[in-house]
Amino acid sequence: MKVVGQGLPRVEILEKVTGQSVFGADVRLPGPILFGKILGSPHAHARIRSIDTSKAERLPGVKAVVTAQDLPPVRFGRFVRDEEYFARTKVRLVGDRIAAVAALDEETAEEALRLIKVDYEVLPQVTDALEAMRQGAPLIHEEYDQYHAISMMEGRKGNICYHKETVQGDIARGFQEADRIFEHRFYAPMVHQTYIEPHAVLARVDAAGKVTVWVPTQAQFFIRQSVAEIFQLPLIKVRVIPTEIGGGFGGKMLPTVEPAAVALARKSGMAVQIVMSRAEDFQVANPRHPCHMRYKTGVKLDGTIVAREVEVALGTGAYCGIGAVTSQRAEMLAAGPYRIPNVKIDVYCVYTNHANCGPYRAPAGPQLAFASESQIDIIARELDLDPVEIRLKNAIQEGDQTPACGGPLESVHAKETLLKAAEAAGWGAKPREKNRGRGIALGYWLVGGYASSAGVKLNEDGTVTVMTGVVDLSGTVTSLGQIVAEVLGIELDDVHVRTADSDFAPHSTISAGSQALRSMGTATKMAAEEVKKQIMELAADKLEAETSDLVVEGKRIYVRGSIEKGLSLGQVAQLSLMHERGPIVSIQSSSHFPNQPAFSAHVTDVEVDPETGGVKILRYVAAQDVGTAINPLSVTGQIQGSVMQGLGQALSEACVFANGKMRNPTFLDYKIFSSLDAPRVEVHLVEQAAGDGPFGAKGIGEPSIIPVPAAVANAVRDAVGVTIFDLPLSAERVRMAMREKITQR
Amino acid sequence: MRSFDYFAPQSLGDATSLLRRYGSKSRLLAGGTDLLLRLERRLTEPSVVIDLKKIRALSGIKASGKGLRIGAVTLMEEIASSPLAQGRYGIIAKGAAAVGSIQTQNRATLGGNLCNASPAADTAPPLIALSARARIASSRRDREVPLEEFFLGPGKTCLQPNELLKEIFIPAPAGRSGGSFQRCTRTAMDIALVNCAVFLSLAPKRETIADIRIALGAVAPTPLRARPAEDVLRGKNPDKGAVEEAADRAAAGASPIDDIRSSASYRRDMVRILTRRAIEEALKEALGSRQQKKWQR
Repeated sequence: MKVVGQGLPRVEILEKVTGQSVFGADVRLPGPILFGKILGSPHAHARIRSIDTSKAERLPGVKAVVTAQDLPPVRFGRFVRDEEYFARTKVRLVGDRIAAVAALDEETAEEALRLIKVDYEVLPQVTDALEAMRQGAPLIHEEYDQYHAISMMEGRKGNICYHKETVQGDIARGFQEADRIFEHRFYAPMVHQTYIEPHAVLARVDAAGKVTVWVPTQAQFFIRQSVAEIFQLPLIKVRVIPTEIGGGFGGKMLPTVEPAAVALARKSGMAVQIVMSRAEDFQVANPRHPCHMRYKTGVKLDGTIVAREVEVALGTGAYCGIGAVTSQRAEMLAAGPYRIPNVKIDVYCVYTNHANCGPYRAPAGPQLAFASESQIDIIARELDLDPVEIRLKNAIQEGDQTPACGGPLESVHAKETLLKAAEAAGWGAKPREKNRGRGIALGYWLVGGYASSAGVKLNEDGTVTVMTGVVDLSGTVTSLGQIVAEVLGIELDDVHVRTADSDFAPHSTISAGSQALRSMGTATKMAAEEVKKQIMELAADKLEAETSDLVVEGKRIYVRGSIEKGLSLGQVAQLSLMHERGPIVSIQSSSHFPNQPAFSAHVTDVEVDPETGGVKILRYVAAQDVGTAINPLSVTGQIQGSVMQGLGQALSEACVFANGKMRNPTFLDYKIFSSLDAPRVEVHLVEQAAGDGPFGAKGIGEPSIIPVPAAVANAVRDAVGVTIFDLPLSAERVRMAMREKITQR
Repeated sequence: MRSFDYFAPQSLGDATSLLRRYGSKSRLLAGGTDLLLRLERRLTEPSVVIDLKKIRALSGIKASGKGLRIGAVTLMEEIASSPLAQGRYGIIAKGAAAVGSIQTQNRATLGGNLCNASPAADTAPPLIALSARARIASSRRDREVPLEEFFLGPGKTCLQPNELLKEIFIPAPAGRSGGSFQRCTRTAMDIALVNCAVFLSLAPKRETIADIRIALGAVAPTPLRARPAEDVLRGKNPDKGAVEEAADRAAAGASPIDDIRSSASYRRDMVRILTRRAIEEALKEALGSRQQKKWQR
């Protein structure tokens, strides 16, 4: 292959590094733009007695004030219709939307918010999933049983918005067969995606009532659907124009500021921009689910796992959001990438008076792997087995099934990935300096795929344009260009590929779930192949040759063996316009993508300061089963970024709340890893072309974050002999665990 | 943010006259890394902002036999990288290098960091340990106070509404001296959970500590001088036990709080650990220079 497999720079990189790219807050239109602001509830749980906006409406400079009265009485939600965009009778989280204002400037809009008077009857709140499940806990949705829910939403009762039991084998017998049984509880707190660009939107409604929304989103067709649903509009009346996006990590798929901007634009007749502050974004914009986990595992003395029982309680926040997807992911991942004959998994997704949780890079993945892989390490220590050996002994193999995975798994490379990481890190020959340790963790993710379509057209000079609606988060469109160039025997420079908007792009999948390239790449490759077929048919006609004798290569098509007997692609394109067949273009669709496993194995060396508890990452090795790396530069970069994000979750990140209000909604006190903390991340690719996916490519973005907290926790245990059951492994927590260990002696 | 009148005087005299006129209605602007945030969050709503950055006399680092003078609007980056501020005065360079990000260090000033009077300010403990004095100007008279008396509480200094901080003066240390600046944070770029500076000098030709000053940050309403800890070591040739005792006393004298960044008890533990490490490092530096001299002879 010539273009696929090359580490080429991203197609939009010059615009980005020169500052020309237009992000959400950069959009400007001819004519004035109003600034919009949203009024959020100060209470985590309260009944609304009244809302008085009259003073705000009278403030000079205010052009529109909207509340629930300005929207159709619609409840929305992809799984349970439990959310109203503006609260009518009740607020369920701090920041629940009450009203929005649009004014000539930001100051006036803020002033107007202060003039809106809301009378609340404050209710008892519940912010922890386990407490919310208890009898007598405050009920967050009194009318939950009247909500419309799709059929997969099992077990809805009270604050539990989803519960499912997944069973494989006979769990009781499994524990009877076990020589040793281990049981531990773990907790992973809420963490935030902390994309560099907060949520932002510009909305305009034209004279005919057509809504246009400019927004940095991972899912333009979701946003179109949501806006249409909330305003009860046909889809052709809503146009979503995705801007460049300053990171998403799952956090930019569900509606946040968009409907408010649309409502304000409709009422004022002017364009309205809303840009969230970082504090607002932290408080309300769908962070990662906090997760309680109980793991009970039965093993034979040789390390064979015979039974595993897992209970997971996810605090989903005030509304279900994608809690159902996170729950299903938890079912698939809870037991780990291991062959276990007897498994029982209970996943509870629970309403709380917290920020509404959403998708975040591998929903449920890092939390469950932290618990599961920590416990595997504890078991290895107790049984005096090597951590790599115990994982190799139990790892799934080709054709195995894990609970809820949907069928026998193909392209299973758990062992190869483990071995690659162990070998690269020099496992076994580890240095035994005091307070230093090494940890390994294995993660896996099941990558599916969603309905996708893409177009490819041959231009009159032989260049090629790709028509896609998939948003570029991590190099996807560059990789699509490489796929097309490979199929058509041209260079990436001969391909134009950018994201079109919802009015003009064929339906495209979301840029999430590690499946954008698998889904879109498949459709795009099919379209490129169809274009190639059309080129060959026309050329065969002109060159009076069989299509089977033709070669497409180097921007030309020629008869095999006689390179001078041929046409340039430009000539073919021009001929097509005169020819009875017409322009060469194709739009193709794909939709069936069985779950495909992708593995990541990480090894890290740490040093623990025995007095402060501070953990320093000395070395980080990440091996990943990537199938074919379409663009190794993008793949490597994405894995490195993922590790950095995971290290923050391992060591320093947590959203901290008091009465439902976030206490650390700034980067001063929400501590992400910065470049000063960053270790060099050594990336090793396990490249074995997958059975499906374009050129055998696998999903990259999520598998790479899953093992990170577990690898760090295991390294800390190796260094100083303590197990920490709650993330993050802050210096204070590590120190406390070390002192407890000393006093226990 | 409320609107305000903005002045950018060119001379110290113009600045102090403006201050005399507007006093408590005004706020002084240097790098703006603290003030702008406070303005944006409406924590302060002055009608006048007086920008001091155009006053050349307030900027720069000058060394003489008497000591080191650092102008109030000197950038953190200048202090961190100045050869004059390194060496004997090295702990102030380390303190400046710990403030915020690289970007912040290219904007924030020493005077701003001190006048903001955060208990966690990273430049305060090193300067207090170095016996620094604050030189204060007003249209009436200039005055000088030891820096440890400059701070009155979080966000509060001894400056009157008509006064401004002109410069910091650090007296030249006695012959054989050593210092250390230690801090404890959550990630590499962070406000200090605890910081600690130690500066000590040795008696001539001996290993006895002639004088020592220990200053702590983020564990009291103001940067704190740990005098009881100093007393343990002054005049002594300290052994491990004495250093531990001094560290214990420093911890006992601290009054840290519980907050989102850390628990009070962790902070107190860190005072003990950082103080011990700082004393040890400072001693090593002071003794090291002697050994070096011996060797040169």
